[in-house]
Amino acid sequence: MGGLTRKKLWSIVALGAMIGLLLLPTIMLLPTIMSLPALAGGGGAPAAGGPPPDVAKPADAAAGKDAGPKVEKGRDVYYKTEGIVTGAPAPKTADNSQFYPRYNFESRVLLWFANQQHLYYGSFVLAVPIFCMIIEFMGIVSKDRAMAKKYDQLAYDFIKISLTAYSLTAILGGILIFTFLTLYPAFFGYLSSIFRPVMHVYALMFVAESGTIYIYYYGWDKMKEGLLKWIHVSMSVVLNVIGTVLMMLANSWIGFMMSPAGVDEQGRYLGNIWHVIHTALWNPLNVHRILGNMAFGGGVVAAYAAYRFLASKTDEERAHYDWMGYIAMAIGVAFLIPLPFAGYWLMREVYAYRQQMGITLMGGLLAWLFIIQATMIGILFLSSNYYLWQALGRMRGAEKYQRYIKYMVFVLVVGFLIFITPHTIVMTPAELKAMGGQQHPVLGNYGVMSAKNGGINVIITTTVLTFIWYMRGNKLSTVSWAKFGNIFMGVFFACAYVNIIWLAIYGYYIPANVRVGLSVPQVATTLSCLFFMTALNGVMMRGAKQMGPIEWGKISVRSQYALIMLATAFTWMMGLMGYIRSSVRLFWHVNEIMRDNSPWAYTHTTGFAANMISFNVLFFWVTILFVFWLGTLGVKKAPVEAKVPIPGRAPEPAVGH
Amino acid sequence: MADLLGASLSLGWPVFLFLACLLVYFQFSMSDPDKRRRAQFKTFIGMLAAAMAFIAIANYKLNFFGNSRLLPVSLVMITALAFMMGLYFSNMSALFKIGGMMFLVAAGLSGYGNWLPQVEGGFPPPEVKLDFGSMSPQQLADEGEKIIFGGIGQSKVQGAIGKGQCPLCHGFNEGFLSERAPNLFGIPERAKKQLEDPRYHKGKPGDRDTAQKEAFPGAGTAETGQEYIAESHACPSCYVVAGFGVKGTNDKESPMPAIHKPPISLTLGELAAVDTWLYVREGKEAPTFEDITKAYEKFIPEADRPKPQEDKPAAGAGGLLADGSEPLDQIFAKAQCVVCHTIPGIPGAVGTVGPKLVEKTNAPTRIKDPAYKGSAKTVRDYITESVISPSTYVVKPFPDGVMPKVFGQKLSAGALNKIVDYLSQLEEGKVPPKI
Amino acid sequence: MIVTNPLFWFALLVIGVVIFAVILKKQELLNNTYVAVAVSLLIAVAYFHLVDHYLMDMQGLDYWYLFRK
Repeated sequence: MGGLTRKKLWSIVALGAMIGLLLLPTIMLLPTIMSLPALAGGGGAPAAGGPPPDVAKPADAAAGKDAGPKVEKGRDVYYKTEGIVTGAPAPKTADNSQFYPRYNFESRVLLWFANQQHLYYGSFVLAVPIFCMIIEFMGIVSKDRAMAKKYDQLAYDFIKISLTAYSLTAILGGILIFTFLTLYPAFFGYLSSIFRPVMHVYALMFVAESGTIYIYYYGWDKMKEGLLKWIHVSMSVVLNVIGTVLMMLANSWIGFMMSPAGVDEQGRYLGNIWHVIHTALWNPLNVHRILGNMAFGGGVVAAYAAYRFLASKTDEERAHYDWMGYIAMAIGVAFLIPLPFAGYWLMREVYAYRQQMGITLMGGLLAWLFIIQATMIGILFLSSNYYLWQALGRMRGAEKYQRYIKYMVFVLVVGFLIFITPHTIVMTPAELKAMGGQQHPVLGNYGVMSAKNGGINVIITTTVLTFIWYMRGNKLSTVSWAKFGNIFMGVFFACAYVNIIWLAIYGYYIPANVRVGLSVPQVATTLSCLFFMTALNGVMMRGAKQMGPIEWGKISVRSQYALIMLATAFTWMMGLMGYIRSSVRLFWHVNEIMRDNSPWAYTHTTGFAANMISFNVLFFWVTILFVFWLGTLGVKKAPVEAKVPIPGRAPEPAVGH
Repeated sequence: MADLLGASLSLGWPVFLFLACLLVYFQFSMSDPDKRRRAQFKTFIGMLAAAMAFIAIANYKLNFFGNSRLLPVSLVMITALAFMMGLYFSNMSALFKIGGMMFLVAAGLSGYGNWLPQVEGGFPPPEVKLDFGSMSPQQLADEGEKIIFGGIGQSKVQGAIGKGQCPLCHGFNEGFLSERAPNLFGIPERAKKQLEDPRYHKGKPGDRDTAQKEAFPGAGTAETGQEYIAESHACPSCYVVAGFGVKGTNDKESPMPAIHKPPISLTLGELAAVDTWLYVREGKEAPTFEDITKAYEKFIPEADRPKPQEDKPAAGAGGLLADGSEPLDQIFAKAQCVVCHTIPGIPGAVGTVGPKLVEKTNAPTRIKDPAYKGSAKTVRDYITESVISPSTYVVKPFPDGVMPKVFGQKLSAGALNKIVDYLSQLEEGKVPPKI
Repeated sequence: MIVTNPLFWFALLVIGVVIFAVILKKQELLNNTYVAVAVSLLIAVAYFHLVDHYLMDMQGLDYWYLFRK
């Protein structure tokens, strides 16, 4: 009895500590926020470790001016509001070692590498707590006790993986900052002079995040019953709120670099920090990144499960990791499906911000990268379909669906090929002549938007169909209207396909301005299938007769390779899209405000970018496989102690960020 | 290949050495021949794998910044060695196989990226804000040459052309045939003489019978040679040199566009640079920058003077003239088609240097022309061909070599598509389609 | 033309749903293949036409462009 009270006491102390940690930054920041304008008044002083003397000079001059009675006003480049100039103008750099100190190597590539690795680990540790939250919650509400325990253990496994990655994230963040400071001092000095308060909030949030994650992890076993469990799960909510805010703050920096606001034409800060954070592309980036992180996290965990599956010696282990891989993949794909729509929004905002930027992306310099991306989206959907088809194999009674797979492959491939056909691209005259125009006489017809939208929607609808087949694989509906339900689903899917394809063809016969609108009903058709049919299926399968249990672990080895492919392709795509997003600024550090005058202001070839992305992806995977492998070492040593809390191998807090 | 092997050896020799020592060690330390053979075999496999790994790394090291598109081959090699290791080192096999799979996926994607056409975004245009006012005459003249011909020293190159587009019509070298517009050799001297031409009506613009009598009401006529040059740029139709007017107007109207207006839109500073070059290249002393700009200010009202553009970023990839996002009429203007061609329905497109572009009418007859050597079969193909390789078929009586051959690079496919779309709908004598 | 009127499709959808509600009580009709296909088709076709029409309408575009011309 005494033990239990002690436990409770400890949990409450832990909770108190957590809340205290959470409030700490807010309290500490209060005076900072209140006195922001005053602080910004002296904003001329260069940031610590900041810009070289040349840059500091105008800064000082500006500060000196401000000190005088004359108040200079500037106009916000984006919001068009007037504000009092409180910062130094963006430094004008030159190609020398003062502004761009360098090794005998391309600085940009080093920064690219440091940035990408930090981002990979960062996304992973931001995504995993969201998973934990979902899975832990599923465990709590699950009525099946065995299942509840399984879910709980899974969530615990997830957070365990992310802890090592968490300290690596912090280390990589440190490396990134050092790389910035040493290789791009002028640029980083400028950025940090503008974002100074945001950076401090960021650092404090990081402390709060670390505190919460450690309490969350170490308190797992102490807080597993009753109310404490609910507190524990709400702690994961807190964790995710902090994580999301962290990410959004970091996004404000890249948002500022792409579409600056809150500064005047010379890049002088105008005193309104919210304008600087809330730039044109900030929110689309936030949404896109959250969804992307989730899908990415799903991929990484799925790869972990696949690794453990392949490495496992017993059926029991295999069953567990098969199940884990399935859950991770399902979550990943669930977030993959809305991702294109978020991307569409981001793209629309890019066009709205600067049309030239949109064109550079979609029809200009970077267009080929988008073709790679289209290919990869196809690959991702193909491999998730493949995995689900393989997964049908572990169910009794799913045989009836297997003979249809070949037709689905055909549909997917046709949709894929249409989807990747490019429309217009920058060509040399010789190529133009050889092709007899900008578009291929036959293939050109598939390269227009209505056909492409048709292609991708057919692919997604087919994925939905596969998923529904999987969900009902080993079940037989027992509701009285089962036959009608099946027929209705069949007819609804058939009509959806017809509608998508019809809209795609219809697009050729109507003017372009009407045609662009067709994509909306197409997407709505796909989403109708997704929502209505999964819901209907759920209702039909309630209390369904099981034709046999899902034989976890009885999945083919090939399916696990599909998971790995999914994970790798996802990592690669993330690298690719990040590269595209970053390089669309062309030769600007901060778009139209601060020029990149380094010798690396040009845009690399597609091939170089692809090699670099591959390197980053593989480096990430090799290191994270190493982390996974470390994890198995620990388990082997103490298989019995697996349930004991506070394992000794947990990493030291590394929050020197 | 030898390079590669050498580089991999120099990178990986400690590993090879270590494995070789291990081989020797196993030979002497193990008594059980079966066990020994297995250990040695595994070491051998390890050596093979190490060799492949180092060759792969060396390939990267040697070609990282080069144009080799075969770097992903390295990844395939690593895939192969990972699977090979996975086969023989069974305790780590899952790790090797997964790693191998990842390398394979990356190799595929990398290979795809390298297989696609390679486009490199060039360096940004240098951020020099030209301050024409403070340049020496020679610097100013160099800038002028750049504007006229596209680069310093380009004036001697046949067909060189800059943003001013002047050499489209004007000859610049002594004795050069210059049919569409006067040869500008000797213009500093000639300008003064032209003022005395009775058709010029010096001081009495009201007496002129040209299409436009003054650059703007109240501008008056030129009094000095430099003012004459300035007036010719600002108001080409104020006085047309005999024989160079638009055909049928009896030299009352000039085919030349006003240079300070779109599409060419040179600023006063740029015009001063151009004029300075005209003097300097003949070894004559040019008027000062201030004098030249003053001359232009006389003929170009304040509101019409193009503003120097600040830090204008290069238009997209490789400095496209038009990227296809613009409205149709702007594409024609930006690509400067309108300077030379008459295009029904496009405002301002009344040029007569090249043929009138009613291509739905023209193209079929041109394709049937026995002199036609191109490959086009349709109207669209014909237009595309004419834009990107103008010399394939030259319409009589227009001379060859006038139209720049750069449009294939300077127009995005989207812009070209729009142009072709529009032109292919134009018919002689019919109302042009709405743009 | 009546087909270009969304109300027509809406009516079809309502009819389909009503028939479904009616036959829900009658097992033998509900699980009759022909009836089921017919009702499903009615609902699905009407639904997708409504989706097409209204989602184009929301963007200020006319889904029936080609048919009205």
